[in-house]
Amino acid sequence: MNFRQFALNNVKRNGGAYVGYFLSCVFVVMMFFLYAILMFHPQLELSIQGTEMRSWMITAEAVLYGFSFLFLFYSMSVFLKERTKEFGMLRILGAKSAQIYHLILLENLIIGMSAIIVGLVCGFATSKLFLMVGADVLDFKGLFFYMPVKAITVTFTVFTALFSMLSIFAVGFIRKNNIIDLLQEKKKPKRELRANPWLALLSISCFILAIGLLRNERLELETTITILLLGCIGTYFFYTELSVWMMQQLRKRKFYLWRGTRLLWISDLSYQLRDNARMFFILTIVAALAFSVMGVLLASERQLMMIYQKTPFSLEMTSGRDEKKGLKESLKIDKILSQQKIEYQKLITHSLWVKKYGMGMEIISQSDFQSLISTLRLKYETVKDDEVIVINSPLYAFSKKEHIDATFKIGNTPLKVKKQYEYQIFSECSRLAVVSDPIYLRMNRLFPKSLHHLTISYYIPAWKNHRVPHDSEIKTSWEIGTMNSDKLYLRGDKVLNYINDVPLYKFTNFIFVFIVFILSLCIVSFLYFRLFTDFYHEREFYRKLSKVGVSIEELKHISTLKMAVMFFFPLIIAAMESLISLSMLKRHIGLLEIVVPSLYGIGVFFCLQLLYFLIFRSRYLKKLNQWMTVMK
Amino acid sequence: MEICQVRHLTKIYGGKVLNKALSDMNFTIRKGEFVGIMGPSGSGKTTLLNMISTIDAPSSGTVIINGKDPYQLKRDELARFRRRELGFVFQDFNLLDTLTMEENIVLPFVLDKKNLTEIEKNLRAVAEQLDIVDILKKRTYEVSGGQLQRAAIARAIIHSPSLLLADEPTGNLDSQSARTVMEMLASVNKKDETTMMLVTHDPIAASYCHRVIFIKDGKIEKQIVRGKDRQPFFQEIIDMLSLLGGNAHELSSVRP
Repeated sequence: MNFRQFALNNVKRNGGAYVGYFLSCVFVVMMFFLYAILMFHPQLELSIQGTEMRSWMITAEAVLYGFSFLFLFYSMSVFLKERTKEFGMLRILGAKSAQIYHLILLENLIIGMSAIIVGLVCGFATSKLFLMVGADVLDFKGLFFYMPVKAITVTFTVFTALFSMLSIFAVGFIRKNNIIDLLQEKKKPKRELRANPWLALLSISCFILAIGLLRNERLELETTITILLLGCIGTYFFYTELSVWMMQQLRKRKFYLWRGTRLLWISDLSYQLRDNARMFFILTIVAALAFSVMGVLLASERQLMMIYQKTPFSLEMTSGRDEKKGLKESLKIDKILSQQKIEYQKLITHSLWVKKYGMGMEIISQSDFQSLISTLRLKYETVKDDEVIVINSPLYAFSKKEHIDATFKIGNTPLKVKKQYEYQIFSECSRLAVVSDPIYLRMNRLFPKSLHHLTISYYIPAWKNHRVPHDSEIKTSWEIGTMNSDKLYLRGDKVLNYINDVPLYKFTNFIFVFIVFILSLCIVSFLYFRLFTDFYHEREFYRKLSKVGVSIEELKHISTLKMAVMFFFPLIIAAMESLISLSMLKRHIGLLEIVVPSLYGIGVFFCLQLLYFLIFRSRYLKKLNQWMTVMK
Repeated sequence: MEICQVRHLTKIYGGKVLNKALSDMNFTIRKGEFVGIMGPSGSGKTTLLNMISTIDAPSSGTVIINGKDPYQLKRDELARFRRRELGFVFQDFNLLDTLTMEENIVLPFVLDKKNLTEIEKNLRAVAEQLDIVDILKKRTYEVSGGQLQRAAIARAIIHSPSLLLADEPTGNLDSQSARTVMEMLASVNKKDETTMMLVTHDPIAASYCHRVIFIKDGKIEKQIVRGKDRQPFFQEIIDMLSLLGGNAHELSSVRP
């Protein structure tokens, strides 16, 4: 048996110990490959959306690669730590350090290469299914199965590089000179943990500072980067110091702690947190980013639907310079609509487009307003000459409320705010100001001609808001929407807007759901690996406990709690971080409602996680139970 | 009053070759007694201890502890029974290194959800009795083996168990610490009238007992009872051991 055979046999015959590590490698390769298959899909490359989304997908793939590296790096270090005793043994038997490095290098290469091959084969086998799902979600008819040569090449190169890198790092891990250190690695008692209160404080102040910066009116690129950095530093020290510090404080509360199994799992928890701090940190950052992007996407999609639902007029046109010609042109629309026997109400509104507080505002007269409002069947009040009614659009996150009775200056005319409404009237208009007819006439003369506009809106009762547009509606809207001329512009066509944007969102969402899914699976495979390698020394802990009369039920309780912390703690922190930042950022992104859609997405993710948790828990407890019975 | 009754206790380990570890063993331990179990390696000491400590079921025969048959209890009741009626002292101390000394000691009470004042009262009492008040806040790696074993004894007696089972308590200790630990055990036995059963290889440790039962090949070979002084009793034990084993090498003080 030469050395290479020894290394090979070591892997082959000691399968159990390698299986966890090997599976996580395979898994990561497979996910990367599946994603690459979609990314390099020829049909996707041809379509317009494909090119638009390309950079997004490459970014996502890069993130995936980064995560794979960290994940595998971590798995490997845990795996090697488990085996330090074995290396000590080899050293006692007279193996040279160089030989052990050689062994590790060979082993890692064997595992890496076979993981790449197995991952590619598995990925290839599932890609058919994957492409089918992708096609269904994306609504690309026939996102066909192809020979992913490019994807295979990329995956192979990239992971060969990764595994070679890992092998080199692996050698670095066991550069311990004393055999006794290697042999006793696991026997060392756990030292008391002392959190550095200053670093804990640093963590808190990073968070506070980040929140403070988020409150800024305007976010420069530098500020955003600073906030992200602060968040990362805060999170890191949160896990390594702050959480440990909190545990220490909890341990001082005898009244709370000295009751039932609490004593056991809380005291163990601080070690668990410290031991896993780095992984928790990585998970939190990745999950927080994923949650944030998911939140933004879900919220945007929801906003799209909301705009569609809240826009009252099906068609809005604006005349060009010559209002008469515009009106004449609009007769064509009337004709199209009556030809198709669509009932409609046509409203003509004169308005002045001005700017106030850097935002666009339209001034309309009371009589025009009344005709609009009675068509839409909304409540309203009349204004006197020195009064104004402000109508804010509920679709604009930026609009600020005015104070009632405050003076509101338009041009040189001071007016009193009589009433404020939240009505959506015209699209792409955040605010309307309603003034009495005489005042409007006066302003009409004051403002230059270029600010005068004529809006012709069509109210079509048959086109209901609460559902997605029908094909006939799309057809008619398309017909009208494409007859843009310089006499009459299309100001708003909600059906077309909706129809245009939906596929884009679907696409981003698909990619995103996929990334989230992979993230979830990665977390799970990591946890699986961690839980079952830890089991060998966790069971010592359980054995000791059972010897002093802790019942199996109590042991199960303790292990369930410990496992729940591993599963959910980083995710809860990530969810909190992303929710807080999103709710503060929504103004900057121009989204109205972000917390609820994000919660929805995060909720789905948690459900998935809960499912994994339940499966793992039952497996783990079964194993524990088995072992306990054997021990007796 | 009898605390522990062992009647016709037999244990056969299965597998392809049946191995009779214990055969038809009978003895009783009265309240307040300090009984030692000695015998050469493979004589069935540990098996006997496992039966009495309810972690292994006998093939036939009964063990009655404080009037109850633990093998008639359900699994959960059994854990509770073990926690309330029995106290354990192990060769490897079996203390959790994630806990402080005092947390280790109060563990049986905490698991039973006793109230804090009661826990603390008992903790103070046992800590003073075993002279470990100074190290209560320390962690396992900060104290010596003798102190660890004393803390383990404190944990075993804090809930005043009906029966304290000690499995080679001096096995991992130097002679000085071993003596202190044995003296502590003897004083606990005398003061609190705690019934104790000690399994050991060490004749010095055994000489602290009131009575020593020698077993060989799963049967009781002989019992000797201590008179007034410890020194002659120690000599008797040595004689008995050489008679039993016939080979001085088997009298090593540490079990393999």
